[in-house]
Amino acid sequence: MKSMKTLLGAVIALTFCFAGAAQAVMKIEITQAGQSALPIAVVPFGYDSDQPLSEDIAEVVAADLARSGRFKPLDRQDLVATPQSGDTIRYGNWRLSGVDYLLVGKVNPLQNQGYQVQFQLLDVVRQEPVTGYNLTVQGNRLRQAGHEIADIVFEQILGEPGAFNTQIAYISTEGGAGNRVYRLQVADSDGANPVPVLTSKRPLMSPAWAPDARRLAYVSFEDRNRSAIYIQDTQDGSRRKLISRSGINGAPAWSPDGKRIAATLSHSGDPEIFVIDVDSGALTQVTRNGAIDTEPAWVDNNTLVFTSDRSGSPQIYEAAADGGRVTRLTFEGRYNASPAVSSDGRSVALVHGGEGRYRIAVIDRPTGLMSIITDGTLDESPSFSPNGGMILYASESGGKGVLGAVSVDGSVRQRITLSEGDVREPAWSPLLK
Amino acid sequence: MNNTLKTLSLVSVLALLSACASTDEAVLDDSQYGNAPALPALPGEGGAQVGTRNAGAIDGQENMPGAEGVRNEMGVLVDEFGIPTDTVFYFDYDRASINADDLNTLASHGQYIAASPNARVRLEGHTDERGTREYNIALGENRAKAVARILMLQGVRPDQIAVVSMGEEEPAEDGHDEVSWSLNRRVQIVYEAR
Repeated sequence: MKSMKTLLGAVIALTFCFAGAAQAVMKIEITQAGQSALPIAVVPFGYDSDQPLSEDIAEVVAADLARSGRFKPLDRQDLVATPQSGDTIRYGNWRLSGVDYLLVGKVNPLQNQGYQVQFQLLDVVRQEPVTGYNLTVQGNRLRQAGHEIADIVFEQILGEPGAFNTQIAYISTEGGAGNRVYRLQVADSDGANPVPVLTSKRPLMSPAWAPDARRLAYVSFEDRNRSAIYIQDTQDGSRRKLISRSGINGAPAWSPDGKRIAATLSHSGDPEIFVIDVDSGALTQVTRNGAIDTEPAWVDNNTLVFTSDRSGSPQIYEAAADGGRVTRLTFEGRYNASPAVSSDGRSVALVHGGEGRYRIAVIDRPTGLMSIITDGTLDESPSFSPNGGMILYASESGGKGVLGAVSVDGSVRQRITLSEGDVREPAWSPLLK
Repeated sequence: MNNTLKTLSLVSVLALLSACASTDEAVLDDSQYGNAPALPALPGEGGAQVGTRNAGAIDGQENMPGAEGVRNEMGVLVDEFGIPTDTVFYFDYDRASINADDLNTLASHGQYIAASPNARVRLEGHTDERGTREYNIALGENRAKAVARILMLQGVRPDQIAVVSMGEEEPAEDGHDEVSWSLNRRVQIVYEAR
C-alpha cells in the first residue's frame, strides 16, 4: 500500500443540485491523494456562446482522472495557458509545469440543439498529439461526454479501459425510526445525477447489477412477513419477484453469463447458498452446513466465494457453483465477510474486522496475500469498478452513511456525501453496452 | 417446567384483568398480506397465513377495564388479552442466546399463542450496525429462531409463527454508540392476530 497521510481538504469539491424528486446536494472530497499518479493538465474547454453551459466538461474529466488514483491533474490556477486546440501548444512551457500530458478542447453549440465537443490529448514529453475526437452530444449528456473523454484518455495513456462512463446503484435512507424511507438509487459513477428507481417504507437492500448493466436484483421487505428478491429493469422500471421463500431471501449476485443468481436462502433450516436459474426459478443448493453461509459472489461462471462462520468466525470460502468442494480463502483475523470479486477473478475485496473497526481489505487470490486499503471504522459493502482499478464501498462520516471510493492499491481515497440521509451498499455497474 | 407453565398459563388467561395497552402490541398494518405466495409452510418456519385482528378471542375471556399493571401467575405483566406487554427482547453482541430474565415473559407469550389457535405472530430479528449487512440478516434470523423455539416449546404451532430477519436495516435507535447498539440487538414479537 503506497499510502501517505496527505490530506487534501477538498481538492475537488463538486457541488451541484439536480432537478428531481429529492433535492440532494452531493459533495466529493479526495481525502487521500496518490503519489505515483501521472501529472496531466486538463485545460478548461473553450466555449463561445451567450447561453450558459450546464456542465464544465474539463472539470468532469479532471475529477474522474483524479479519482482513479492513476492521474494527478494540475490545479487550474497553475495552468500556464488555456489553449483550446492542439495547434497552438508551446510544449516547453508545459514541460516546465511538470505535466506529461495535456488535454485541450472546445464546445460548439449546434444549430439543432446539442453540442459538438472537440478535444485533443497531447503528449508533452514527446511533443506530439496522441489522439483527438469530435463528439456530438445532446444537451443533457454533457457530463456523460466528460466521462467518455476521461475513459478515452485513461485507455490511450494506460492501455487499459476506464470505467468512468458507468453507473452505480446504492440504497439511501431518510428519516429515523418509525418514518424511515428507503430508496434504491442509480447514479453516474461519480455520484452525480442520482435517480431513485424504487422508494419504500420498508427496507431495501443488496442491489446487484446484471451483466447487461441495465437490470438490478435486490432484496425488499415490502411484505412484512418475508423478504423477497426482485429483479428490476432500471430503464423502464418494470420488475418481478424472483423468489420469496420462508426465512431469508438475500444477498443476490448475478452470474457473469447473466443466467443465474446466487443468493442466500434459509427455507431449508439455516442460511445456505443457492443458485437460482433466472428464467425457470430452479434451485441448485451450493452449501450444506449448519453454520451461516451467505454473501455469495461469482469468481467466474463456475465458481463462487461466500462468507461462512463454519469455523466459528466469519471467513471467506470458495466453492464450485454446482456444490462440491469448499476451500477456505481467509485466515487473518476473526472477521472477514462480504466478498466482492474483480472482473478478472484475481482479486477479492472484503470487509475485515478487528480492533473494534471494520475496514476494506483486498486479497490476491493466487497468493492469498491480504492488504487493508481503507481507514474507516465501519467500512463495508465493497464493489469493484468494472476495470478492477477501484473499489466503491460504504463508510461512515460524522454519524452519516456515506460512500467511499478507493484505488485498489489504497493510494487514493475519496468520500461522496449526499446532503440528506444515509447512503450505503453501493454496487458498481458493468461497462455500459 | 413446561407442563407447569402451560397450566399456569391457562389459569392466567381465564383470570385476566385488563392492563394498560402496550405501544408495541399487535399493530396490524393495512397492507401487503395479500402478497404472500402460496408456498407450503415448512417445518420450523411460518407460512404467511394471517388471521384478522379480532379472530383470536379466547372463550371465557372477560375484558375488565380499569385495572393497570396486571401480572400473570409467573409475575409477567400482561394486557387485557393475557398477552405480555413486553414484546421486545434484547441480545448480547454477536449472540443469539435468550437472556434468562426473558424466559418467563417468552413462555407467557408462548402459552397465550398456543392457547389461541387463531393467533399469529411475526418474530422480527434485528442486529446492531456492526458487521456486514447480509451476515447480520443471518444473525438476526438466528435470534428470531431462538425465540421461535421457546414459543414452540409451549406448544405454538410452526404455522402460527413467521420469522423474518431485518438484520441492521430497521434500527430502533439511530445512534452509533453502545447504548443504541444494545437497544438495536433485539427480537420483536408482533401480533398479527390474537
